Amino acid sequence: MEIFQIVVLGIVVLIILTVLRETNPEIAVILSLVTGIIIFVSILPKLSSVVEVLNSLARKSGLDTIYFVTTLKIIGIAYITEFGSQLCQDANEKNLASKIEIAGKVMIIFLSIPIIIGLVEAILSIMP
Amino acid sequence: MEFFKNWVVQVVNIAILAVILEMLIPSSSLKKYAKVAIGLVIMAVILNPILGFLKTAPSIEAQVFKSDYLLKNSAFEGLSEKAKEQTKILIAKEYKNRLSQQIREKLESLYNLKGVEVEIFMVEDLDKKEFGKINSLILHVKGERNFNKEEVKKLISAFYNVPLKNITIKEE
Repeated sequence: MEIFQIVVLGIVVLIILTVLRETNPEIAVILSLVTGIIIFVSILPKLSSVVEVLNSLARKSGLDTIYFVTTLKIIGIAYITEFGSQLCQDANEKNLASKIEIAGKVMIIFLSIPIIIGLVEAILSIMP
Repeated sequence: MEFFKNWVVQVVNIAILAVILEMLIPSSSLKKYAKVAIGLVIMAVILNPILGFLKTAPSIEAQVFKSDYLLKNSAFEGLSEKAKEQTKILIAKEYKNRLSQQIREKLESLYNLKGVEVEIFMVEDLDKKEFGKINSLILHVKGERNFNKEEVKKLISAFYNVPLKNITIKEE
């Protein structure tokens, strides 16, 4: 069971972190970064198979690849932004965290603008 | 009847897909933004077959592709007239390539048809409202004979809003 490994890793790191935070907070940040990356990497194979299934479903349902790719990109941006901003919050850098979140939001809006334009054009063309 | 069946199946598939995709989004403040984008995609898919009925309606995908390209190359406005024309031709060409690639992949994954060449005749003028509307399609199939021609035609016609009579399958 991989979830056991991940949770146990999390608990062990948590105990180490509680001690480290008081003695050397600098190393604590690095430790939590590394743990985060390890957990993320360990779920990547599973995530990729999920995406594979979704991809075949999308192909069958006639979803244009441009939509599917855009949605996946948006989800990826959400993950990465979340990861970065949580890390900054752990290090007590709330300012930086909110900046990262703003960047993520702008990126998501930038990616969805073409879809919005396409829709608006289509709807306008239906109107007499 | 066939049309409605295809449409309903498509919408149901997209709804399932959207729910799974929404589950994948991490629970953060970004969730609502991602949800809006997924909602837009669903809207585009639901609208697409309705647009197929209209003669002058644009293809949503083509519009999305065009604005995506122009957004990413924001230097476009600063180009000279001639360069702009060239870029427009390039965008149309790129869109056509992508479309034929997509049809090829679809035929390969659904009917196991390999080495199909797709010839597309569509509105290639980027400034026209109906840019990207496919007028007719010719599929050149090599070697393979064991497939249901009518079914392939129906599938392509449903996905790309091309009238059935404008799709030709040539066996070589």
